[in-house]
Amino acid sequence: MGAVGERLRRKNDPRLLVGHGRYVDDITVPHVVHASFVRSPLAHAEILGIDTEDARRARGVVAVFAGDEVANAMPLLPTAAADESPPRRPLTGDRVRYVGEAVAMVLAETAAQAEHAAALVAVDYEPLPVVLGPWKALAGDAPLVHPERGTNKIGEIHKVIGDPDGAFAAADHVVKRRHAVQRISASPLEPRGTLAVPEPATGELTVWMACQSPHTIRTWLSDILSIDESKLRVIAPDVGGGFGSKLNLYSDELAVMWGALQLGRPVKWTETRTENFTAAVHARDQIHHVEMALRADGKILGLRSHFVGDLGAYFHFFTPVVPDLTIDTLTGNYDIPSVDIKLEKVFTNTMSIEALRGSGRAEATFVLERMIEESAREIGMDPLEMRLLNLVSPEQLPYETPFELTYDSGDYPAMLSRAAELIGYEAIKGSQRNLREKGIYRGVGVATYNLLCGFSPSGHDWNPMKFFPGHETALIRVDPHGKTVVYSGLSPHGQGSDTVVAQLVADELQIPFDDIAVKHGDTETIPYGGGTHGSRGAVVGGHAALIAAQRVVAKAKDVAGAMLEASSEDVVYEGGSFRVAGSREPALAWQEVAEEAHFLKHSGPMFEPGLEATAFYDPPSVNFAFGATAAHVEVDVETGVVSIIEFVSVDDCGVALNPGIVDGQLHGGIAQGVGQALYEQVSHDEDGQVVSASFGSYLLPSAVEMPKLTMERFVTPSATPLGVRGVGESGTLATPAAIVNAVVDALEPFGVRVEQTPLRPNVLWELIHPEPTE
Amino acid sequence: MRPPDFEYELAEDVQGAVSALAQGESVMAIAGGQSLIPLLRLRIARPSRVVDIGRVPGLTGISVSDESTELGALVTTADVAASDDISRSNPLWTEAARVIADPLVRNLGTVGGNLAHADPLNDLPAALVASRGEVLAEGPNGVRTIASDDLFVSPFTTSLEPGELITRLIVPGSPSGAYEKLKRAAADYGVVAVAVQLDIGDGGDIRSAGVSLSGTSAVAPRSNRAEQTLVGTNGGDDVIEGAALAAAEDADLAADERGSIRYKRAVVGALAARALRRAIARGNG
Ligand SMILES: Cc1cc2nc3c(=O)[nH]c(=O)nc-3n(C[C@H](O)[C@H](O)[C@H](O)COP(=O)(O)OP(=O)(O)OC[C@H]3O[C@@H](n4cnc5c(N)ncnc54)[C@H](O)[C@@H]3O)c2cc1C
Repeated sequence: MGAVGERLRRKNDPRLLVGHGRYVDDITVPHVVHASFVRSPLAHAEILGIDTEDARRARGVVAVFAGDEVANAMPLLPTAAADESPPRRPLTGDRVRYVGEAVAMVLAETAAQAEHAAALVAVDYEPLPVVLGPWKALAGDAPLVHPERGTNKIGEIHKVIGDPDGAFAAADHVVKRRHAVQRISASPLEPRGTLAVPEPATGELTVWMACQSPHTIRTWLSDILSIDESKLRVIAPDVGGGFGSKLNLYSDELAVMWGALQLGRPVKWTETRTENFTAAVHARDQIHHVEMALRADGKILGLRSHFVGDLGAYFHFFTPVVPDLTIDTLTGNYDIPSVDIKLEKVFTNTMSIEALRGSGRAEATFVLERMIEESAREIGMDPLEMRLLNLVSPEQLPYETPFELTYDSGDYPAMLSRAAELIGYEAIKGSQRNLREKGIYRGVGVATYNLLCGFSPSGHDWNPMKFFPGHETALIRVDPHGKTVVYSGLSPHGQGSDTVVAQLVADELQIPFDDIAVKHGDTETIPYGGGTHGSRGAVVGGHAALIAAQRVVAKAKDVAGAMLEASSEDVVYEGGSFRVAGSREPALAWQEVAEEAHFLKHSGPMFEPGLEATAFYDPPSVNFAFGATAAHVEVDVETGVVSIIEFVSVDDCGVALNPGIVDGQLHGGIAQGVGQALYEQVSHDEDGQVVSASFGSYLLPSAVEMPKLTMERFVTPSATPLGVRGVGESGTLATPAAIVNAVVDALEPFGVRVEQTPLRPNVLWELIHPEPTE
Repeated sequence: MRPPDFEYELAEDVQGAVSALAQGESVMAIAGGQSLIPLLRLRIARPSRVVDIGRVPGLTGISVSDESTELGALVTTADVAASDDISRSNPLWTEAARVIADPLVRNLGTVGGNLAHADPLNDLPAALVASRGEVLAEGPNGVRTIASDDLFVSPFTTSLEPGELITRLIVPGSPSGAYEKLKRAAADYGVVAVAVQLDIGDGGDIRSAGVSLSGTSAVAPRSNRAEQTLVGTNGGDDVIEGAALAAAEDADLAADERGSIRYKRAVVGALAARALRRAIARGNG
């Protein structure tokens, strides 16, 4: 009995699947004007002048905003680490610093008219030298992205823990490698969109926005637009994926809101796909130079990495902390006592780096798991064996990492062994020689992960934002018929958290799953919430709902006690009915109690009417999920094409509240990992043009590219009341390394050295068949 | 982006379409729209008027005999990919159609449009050249036949006169055909592809050979040397290797995000050998 643990269908899917979703672009209001942006075609240039005459005269045009004066009248955008961040406004009037930066906004009666008029705005640019590539940006003579800062370097973090120098001195082997993690784009199915509706008579502003965290946006808007939060309403309607890219308040979104306030008319903007590739945040983009110190038997003694994070031209909400997260998770599941990690962060003339599913941790996992693979190969040890030797063992738990994270429980070696067993590690290794003789190159690779997630408590170290809560909230309201609405502060946009919340509330209230509706994404109806990101849905949002449900049950017992003329402590609630402990009196049904709570027909004023409760939950600490993956691949050495024959994922997310949703989250994460390993890449030419600004060039894995998946779950409940661990980002972490490790294994006879991804066919072929040197 | 404004006309018959198109270069035909609409949205094509030939009667229909496959210009690439008759008598065309883009594009894209667009990355031009097919073109001056070798002039340019429409494709059939294409991802255009169609006698002797490429600088170039290497032989391993090498050596390639010239040349060679092996096996099977 009970809904938790069942593979229930997601509540929203039927509606979305038949096309009845309501995304920002589907929402129409009267008198709306449409926005289109003029964006910089250059990565770095001074703006000498902007001629908007023709655009202003074009059919349907209502207003054109451009130029220094206008830009300076606009509010500053909120960013991470406000004192270090260069100021940024919705439009730039003097200088552009990346391709796609908004220079002018055209408002017109139709979206087509706005777009046509935008093409008539003539901007006179004086090109400036472009800075691309993080190491080049650090060079003394590099052009400066923000000349007033005097350097492109944003900061340096150097963490030395244990005795790395001693470890390297004592090592029998030191393995050195370079690993680059390429820049990627979130590529949500729905690009961004904003509809801002002002009410000049009252000073109110309602904003529909494809976003992941509406309350955070509301608080920031209040701050920068000087409108009381009581007069601001932010609504995230159906949102078609975000992956972190919709956590921000962007320049174009703020320009739309500002324009609506200037005009006193609603303004709507829907991002095009082309815009999304340049004007929505990018992710990853780190280059590591790594050294691993090893004892002769394969024990890892120490790890050094000197790495650089290319952060783009400006800060968004989390830009500077993404690579910080890489440092703090760089030892993964392994017992590596001594580390020496140096990070330099730089500005370049590119779009900002931001949080994207697995951010910071995916880079760390890739570098570590590639490094272990390379080390094992270099010292002639089996990579699986080396991992098993170095993984933190169950006996070592709780285990404190060099970065002071405390892993609570789990069995990492058992999971890795199981993944190896499921993929048929030994059999694949055993058949390699014969197959190679026939020209068939197959390989097997493994990788493990430990997902730091559910970032909390609110004041945690990786939170660089003044307004960004770590807590989550839920209001549960029971109506007189006993049906229940949960108002959740989560803002799911594809994750299915609404379904999961309904499941656990159903069990707590002992009522049917179908009697529960979950509402989210509207600041007017939902108590102050944190939204959906960082694998926090169940671990933070789930607990808020659980606590609220417990409070509702307590209240219902008060009501039942009044009806049964007993004290509420003597009331038991079991199997959906209330009775006095030990009594044989007829029991009260949930619905009877709900009705009485509202109309008080049978009991005097012994309780406060109504049946609802709110809970805010700020977890005491972060949460960890972990697992192991294995890939079996074949490489066509004539063409460089990699086929994944099978992919195994063994995951521990603690108690799986809805196994179907957990599987779905893992599938999606694995797909992103496949993309990182083999397909996706934001690429720039030497002028800083984004040459990958369409799906013809930015290759996304589709159903066809997804491998056969074999999934298995370990269940180690976390120490939280629900026993849950995060899962939303898990699949992104170990997948790329497992695939690349398998490719390296397949190509062992060629001794290829992989230093960067994606391994597109031509890239891999060039490694297999290097140009003959004279 | 949205395209600039243009007029739209739905053609009722071939004559109507032809006379509308004959009015000038700024009038363009649209069939499946799978190449033209992207160009309109990118504002690369800026026609003043678009004439929709998609519902013109008489331009559909597949008729297949052992000797030839005849396709109306509006037959979709999905129809070609799904036809059992074509797959029996003309497997080259089945294989080529099946690797075009994704099902959404194949459901709308037409064979006439695929050829008329003359994109060096399209697949059907190479299939047409390898199988030595021809198209019927109807224009202000009546109907004429254009042989595959005369159809493609340069990238995105055919020998069709202003106002001329492709109405029909006539393709010699052969069981000894194959198409090999390298794609970076399922929905991507190819890096390079090789079309092969052979005529194999009862004794296993190759009587004639057609080899053409997609993904080169020219549209569907014929690999003359590869063909000569094959004709008159029994298609043994040495011959296959030699023909594949000739196709690779003669390919006019350019470096781009899909790969270096060196890479593409190697892939042409590998794919040509695979296509030839399959075509020969089919012919002898
Ligand atoms: C994402 C994507 C991927 C693709 N990948 C591939 C691929 O891998 N391989 C491949 O071969 N193709 C590919 N295509 C192109 C696709 O096959 C097109 O359908 C084809 O190129 C054009 O056919 P159409 O009917 O859509 O022509 P349209 O787009 O309607 O027209 C294209 C051009 O041909 C002209 N035209 C159309 N019909 C005629 C006619 N009967 N007579 C004279 N002129 C005519 C038009 O005026 C226009 O100039 C891809 C397209 C997309 C969108």
